[in-house]
Amino acid sequence: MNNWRILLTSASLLALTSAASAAELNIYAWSGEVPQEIVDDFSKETGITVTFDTYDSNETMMAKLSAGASGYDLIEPSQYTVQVLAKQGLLQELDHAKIPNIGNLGAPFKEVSYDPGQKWSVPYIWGTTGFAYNEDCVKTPPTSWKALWDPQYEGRIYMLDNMLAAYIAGLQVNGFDAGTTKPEEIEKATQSLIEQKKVLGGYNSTNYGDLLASGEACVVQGWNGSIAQVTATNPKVKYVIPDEGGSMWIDGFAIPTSAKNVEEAYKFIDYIMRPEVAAKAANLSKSATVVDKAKAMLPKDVAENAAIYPPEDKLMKADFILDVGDATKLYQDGWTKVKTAQ
Amino acid sequence: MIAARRGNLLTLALLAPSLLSAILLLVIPILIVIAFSFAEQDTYGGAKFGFTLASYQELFQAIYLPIFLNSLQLAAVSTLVCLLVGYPIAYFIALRAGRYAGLLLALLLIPFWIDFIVRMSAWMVLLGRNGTMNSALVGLGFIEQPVRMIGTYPAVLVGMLYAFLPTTVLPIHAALNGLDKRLLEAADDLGATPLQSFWRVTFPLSLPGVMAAILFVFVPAMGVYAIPVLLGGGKSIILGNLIVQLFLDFRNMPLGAAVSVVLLAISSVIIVGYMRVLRSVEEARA
Repeated sequence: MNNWRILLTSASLLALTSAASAAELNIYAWSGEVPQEIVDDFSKETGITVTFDTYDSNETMMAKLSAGASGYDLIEPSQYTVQVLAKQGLLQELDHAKIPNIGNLGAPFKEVSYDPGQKWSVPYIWGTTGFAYNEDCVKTPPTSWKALWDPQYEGRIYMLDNMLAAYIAGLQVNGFDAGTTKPEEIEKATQSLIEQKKVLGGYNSTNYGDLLASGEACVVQGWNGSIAQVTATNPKVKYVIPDEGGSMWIDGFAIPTSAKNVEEAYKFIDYIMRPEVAAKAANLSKSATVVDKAKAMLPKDVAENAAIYPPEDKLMKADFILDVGDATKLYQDGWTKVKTAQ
Repeated sequence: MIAARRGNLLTLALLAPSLLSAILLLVIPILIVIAFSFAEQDTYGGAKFGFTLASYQELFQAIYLPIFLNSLQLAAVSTLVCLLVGYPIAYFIALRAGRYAGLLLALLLIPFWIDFIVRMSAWMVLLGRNGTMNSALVGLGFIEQPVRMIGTYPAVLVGMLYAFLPTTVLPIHAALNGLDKRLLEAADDLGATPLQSFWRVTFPLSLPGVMAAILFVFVPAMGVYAIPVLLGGGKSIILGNLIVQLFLDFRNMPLGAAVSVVLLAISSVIIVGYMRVLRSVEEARA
C-alpha cells in the first residue's frame, strides 16, 4: 500500500517536472518572414512552446549572438551572415539525417556558394533588394536607382537603414558591383550616399512599406517581400528591380552553437520544408520559396507576381553579396561618414 | 560604544538592500562597460579582453567629433525649448490655477503611463503627410498642400519637448509652489509693476527649480535614441544612435563601450560642475 503511494507520488511528480520542462523552442528570425500562423500551426502539431523574436538586420542578430549566450535555438541569417557566423564558430554543423525534408529544396538551392553542402544552413526563402514607388506621386515608372536621388521627390525618399543595403544602391548607381572590396569604389559610393542626404526623408528598415502606402514617401529602397505585403492591400505601390542590377539574397535557418533546444530546432526546420507548409509561409509572407513543390501550390497572384518571382534576365543581373572580410571596416567608416553628414 | 556599533550595524542592515541593488544593477554594469572599452576588437565582431587604448584613439578621430557636437547642440536646444514652454505652464499651475492645480498636474502626467514608443508613434501619425496636423492646417487654409514634418529637425524638437516637458514642469512647479505670496504683495505695495515683481521676485526664487529642470532635461537628452530615429528619419546621428550603431550594426563592442564611457564622463562632469554652481547660488542667497 505504502509502496504504491510512493510510486504514485513519484509518478505524478515526474509528470509534473516533465510538464514544467515541456519542449521549448526560441526562434529569432527576420521580421515579416516567418508568419505567426506557421509558428502557431507548428506548436499545435508538436506541442512545442515557441518563443518568437524578430530583427530587421543581420547585424543586430549577429551582435546578440556574439555577445554570448543569446537563448536562441534557431536563427535565420542571410547568405553572407552564414559565412561570418560560421567563421566565428557560432553555428552548429547540421545533421542532415534530422532534416528528411531537406530533399525538397529546389535545384539552385541545393548547392549554394556561401555554404557548400548545406553544412551550416538550410535555405528558407529568397528575394531581392530593389526599390518601390507609389503611383500617386511618381508618374513615370522609374527603372534606375537614380530615382532615389531624384530632387523632385525631395524629402519623400527613404533608404533602408542598413549599411550593406544602402551601399548596394550607392555602388551600383556608380556602375560598381555591390559587395566590392575596392577602397576607391566604396569611397565613391560613400560620396554618392552623402550627396543623397539632401533629398532624403530618412532611413528606415522597419515600416518603410507603410510610409510608401500612406503617401508619406514617394520612393523607398526595400526588400521585395515587405513591399509585396503592402502591394497586396495597396496596388498603387510598385516594386522595381533596378536596371543596375539590385541584389538577390537567400535567408535560411541555422542553429547557433549556444542553442539549448537543438532537437526542437531540427523539427522546425524539417516542418517548414514540407511543401504545404512552405507554400503557406511563402503565401503569407509574400516571399519566394526555395521548395519547388511548394511553388506549384501557390495562388496565382503570388506565383506569377514579378515582384516575388522576377524574370530570369533580371535575376541574372542581380548581385549576390558575400562576406567582404576586412573591407567591412571600409564600409563601416564610410557609413559613419554618411550618417554624420549634414 | 557597543550601542554605537549596534547602531552602525543596524544602519548597514537597513541600507543593505538598496546598497546591494545599486552595486548589482549600477556599479557592476558600468564596470563591465568600462572593461569592454579597453578590450580588443577583431574584424568579426569578437571582443578579446585585454588592455588597449585603441578604441579611445579611434574615437577621437575627426569623423566622430560632429556626433558629439550634434548631441550637445540637440540637448542644449531641447533644454531651451522645454524651459520656454515649461516655465509658463509651471507658473500657471502653481500661481494661477487655484483649485484646478492638482487636476492640471495629473493631466500633464497621465499620458506618461503609456509606453514611450507608443507615444512617439502617435506623433508620427499626428505629424504625417496625411496626419491630423497637416489636415487641420490645410482645412484652416494656412497651407495649400500638406507639408513634410516627419524627418525634419523641428519634428525632433517636438518629440523632445513632449518627452521632457513633465521633467521640466515639475521641479519649477515645486519651486514656485512654495513661494511666499506675501513677497509678491510687498512688491506690489512698493510700486513694482507685475513685470518687475516677476523679474525681481518670482523668477529669482524659482531659480533652483529652473536649475534642476535644466539638469533633468539636458543630461538624458544627450543620450536619447528613439526620438531622432522615429521623428527625425534617422538622418542626423547623435551619441545614442552612435552607440546603437556600434554595438548592433558594426558589432564593435569595445568602441561602443568607449563612446558610452565618454558620454558618462561628459555627463558626470556636467552634473558635478552644475551642482557646484547650484550650491554657490544657494549660498549667495542665504
